[in-house]
Amino acid sequence: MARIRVGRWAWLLVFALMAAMLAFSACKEEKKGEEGTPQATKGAGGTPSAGNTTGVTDTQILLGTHLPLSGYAAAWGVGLKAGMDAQIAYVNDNGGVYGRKLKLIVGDDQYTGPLATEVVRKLVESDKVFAIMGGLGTVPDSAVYKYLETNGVPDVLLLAGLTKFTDPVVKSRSGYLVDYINEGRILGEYIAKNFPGKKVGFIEQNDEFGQEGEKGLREGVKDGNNEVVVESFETTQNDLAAQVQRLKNQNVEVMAIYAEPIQATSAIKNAHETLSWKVPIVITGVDAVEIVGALAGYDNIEGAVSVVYAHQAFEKDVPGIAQHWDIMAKYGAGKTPDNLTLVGAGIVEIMTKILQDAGPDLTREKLLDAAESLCGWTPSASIAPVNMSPTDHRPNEVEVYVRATVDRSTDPPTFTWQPFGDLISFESTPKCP
Amino acid sequence: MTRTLLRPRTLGLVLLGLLILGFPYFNTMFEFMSGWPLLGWLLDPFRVFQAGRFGVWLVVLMGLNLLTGYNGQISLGYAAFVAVGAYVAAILMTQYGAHVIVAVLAAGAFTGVVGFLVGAPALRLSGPYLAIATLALVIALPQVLKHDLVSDWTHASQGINFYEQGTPPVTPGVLQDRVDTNQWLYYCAIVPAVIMTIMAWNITRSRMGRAFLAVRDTELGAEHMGVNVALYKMTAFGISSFYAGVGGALFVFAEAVLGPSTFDVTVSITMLVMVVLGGLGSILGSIFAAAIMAMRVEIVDAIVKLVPRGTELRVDALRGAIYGGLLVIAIIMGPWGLAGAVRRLPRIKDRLVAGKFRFPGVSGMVYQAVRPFLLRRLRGAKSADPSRQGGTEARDEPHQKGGDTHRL
Repeated sequence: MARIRVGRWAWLLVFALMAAMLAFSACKEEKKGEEGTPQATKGAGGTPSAGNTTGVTDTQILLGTHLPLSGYAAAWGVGLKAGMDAQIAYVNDNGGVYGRKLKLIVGDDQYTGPLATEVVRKLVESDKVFAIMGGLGTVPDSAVYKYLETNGVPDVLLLAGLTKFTDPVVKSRSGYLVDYINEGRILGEYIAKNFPGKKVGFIEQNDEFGQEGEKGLREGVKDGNNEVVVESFETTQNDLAAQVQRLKNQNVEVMAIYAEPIQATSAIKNAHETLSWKVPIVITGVDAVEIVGALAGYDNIEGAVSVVYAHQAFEKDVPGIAQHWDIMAKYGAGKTPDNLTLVGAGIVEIMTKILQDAGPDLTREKLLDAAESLCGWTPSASIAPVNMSPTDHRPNEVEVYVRATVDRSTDPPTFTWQPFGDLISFESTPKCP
Repeated sequence: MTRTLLRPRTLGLVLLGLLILGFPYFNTMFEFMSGWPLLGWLLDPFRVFQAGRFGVWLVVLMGLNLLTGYNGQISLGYAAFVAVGAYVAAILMTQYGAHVIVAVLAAGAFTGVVGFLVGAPALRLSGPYLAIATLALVIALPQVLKHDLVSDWTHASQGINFYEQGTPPVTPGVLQDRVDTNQWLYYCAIVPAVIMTIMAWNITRSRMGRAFLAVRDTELGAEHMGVNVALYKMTAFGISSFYAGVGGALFVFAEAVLGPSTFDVTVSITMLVMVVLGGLGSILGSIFAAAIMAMRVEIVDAIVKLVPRGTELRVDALRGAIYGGLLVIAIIMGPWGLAGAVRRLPRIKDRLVAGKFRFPGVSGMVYQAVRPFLLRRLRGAKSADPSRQGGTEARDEPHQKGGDTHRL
């Protein structure tokens, strides 16, 4: 075919554009006359206007979330989704919330910003969900949180620990995890107490996650007069041999790690196994999951210290955890409970509680009010009551240290993060009305 | 003038133009159709955003296709150029208050120049060596973006967020009553996409395009015919980078969020895969590629939904495998991508009629079973339309004549 000559076409296109615009604006103005203000339901600045019932019918509440179901972080999303699905099936079998069944649509964001934008916009604009709950990950959440805020969509209990999501507080958004600064500080306090004056080597993922952890850790070690040296790495790098070697050369005596499991375990393995350098290890709560044991090798990880904010799946003697095992056995479609399914189920459990508190005439406004007045209630997996308030949008306020423990009496050996010491409350708990 | 307008091709283009221009308004105009099976899918308000994304990917993948499909230079680091364009545009818009048109053009020009210069080493490398060299670009870029020297502009690992910078994407004042933000973003992506597509169409059908193809098919031969191989290779890099820059700028304008990891190795490889899947060395292929890119999550979602819930088969855990499987099947079935399949349709018909069609395996058995019926139907169709196989196709994909007969 011949070349397209643009000159002649440009004019045609421009004319067509103008005609189309005129026609459509006429259409729109007609509509305005009929319906009053069509934009009234949209709201602005993070506060949805009263009476927004998008996604709520007499029989159903439609919820959405974005998780990595494929891609390198898929293990997270698949586990969380299994927990959420099972808990939702359980809630629905027990009558739902005021007769409404919960329905969850999960968008697969592959842990990337662009896809998170895509799936979240689909959830909001096409599926018209009532709220987004438990969206996972710093990167995806960063991409969508402002969009959800400006469109007044509740973005509750998101799974990311960056402080920017909840500080400053925005009515429509709340986070589930303990923020990384508080977590880092608690880990730093552990170092200050147990290794005073010793040199700390900090393995830092070169992004906001690592930087906030570093900030908290530096605050925490103040009392111990520990010197902190930092070695950073990119998320594209999986082998941290060089970083670990440099820390060893600087005569570091404690190693603190803020990294995702693959890199964190690489650092541990390189130190303990490759270099035979038996340095004590303190590691972010992000990595206090079962899989880290297998990745690092039990002999290497044994003794590492981390923090958690809730009970873990292996603590079957806790009634709430036993209940989770029952629920997973009945509704879990064959998935064995682990800490991820526990978090997924926990989010649905808190969401259910908030929905119940919001009352039978459910609106987005009421949901957010109910979330803010969540107080003194203990979800089945939590170690302490969860609280939120208009100035505090992170419900968990207590953490406990855990130590990587290998039980060799069983065959094969079992790996767990065993809690030890007292509960650490890092926020003043409000008095409930 | 009237006679020109009434030609089928002209009418088709005008209709297509109107469709593209009116698309974001269809969901309110034809609201009564939103319950209809296929149209309802298309009239979903979310499609406006998705179509905008399609426009962005079209520009981006068109550039990659010009480089890899038309010029035969395999680049695994294409996302790095997209990222450069996106960053230039984002910095200009958020920190210097530049107008979107200025920002997009500046991003395109800057990236184009960068690409042209990067193209110089490409002269010495080819095939896998070039792929590795370009891969280095995309691996190095995040670290460069986080470096202290540029972190005042790029905000290091925090990235650039238009909302946080106080410049969220909104429709400019004059149009605010008529065009909402989603529609505005759609136009901002689709208008450049159309212009860039026409540009690519013209480039590939010009002296330069023929030179690209000649260099791709045989460098030595091209040199003998007087083609300046070095210059055209660098030009291909430059032009494709210009596309990458513009595409990146459009992307960040619609997305409003940009971080050092937004365009990483995975994105780079995905882009290359999409172009191969859509069809190398073909404009239509780029369009298919962009469509798949814009809908890739949805496609896998649809397949996952086919498996009944509550079974022991936890398909969610298999998404990656499904995705990979689809790619393998697609590439085996259609080595020239979807565009190749579309172009082959008329020829398949001819071969069916001539009876020299050979399918292996199961499809062959099915074919043997239905062949008599197919033949009866197609014989009628054949006599009605004898002019389908023209010289244009051959010119469109000079490579394929040989490969095609060999395969079928």
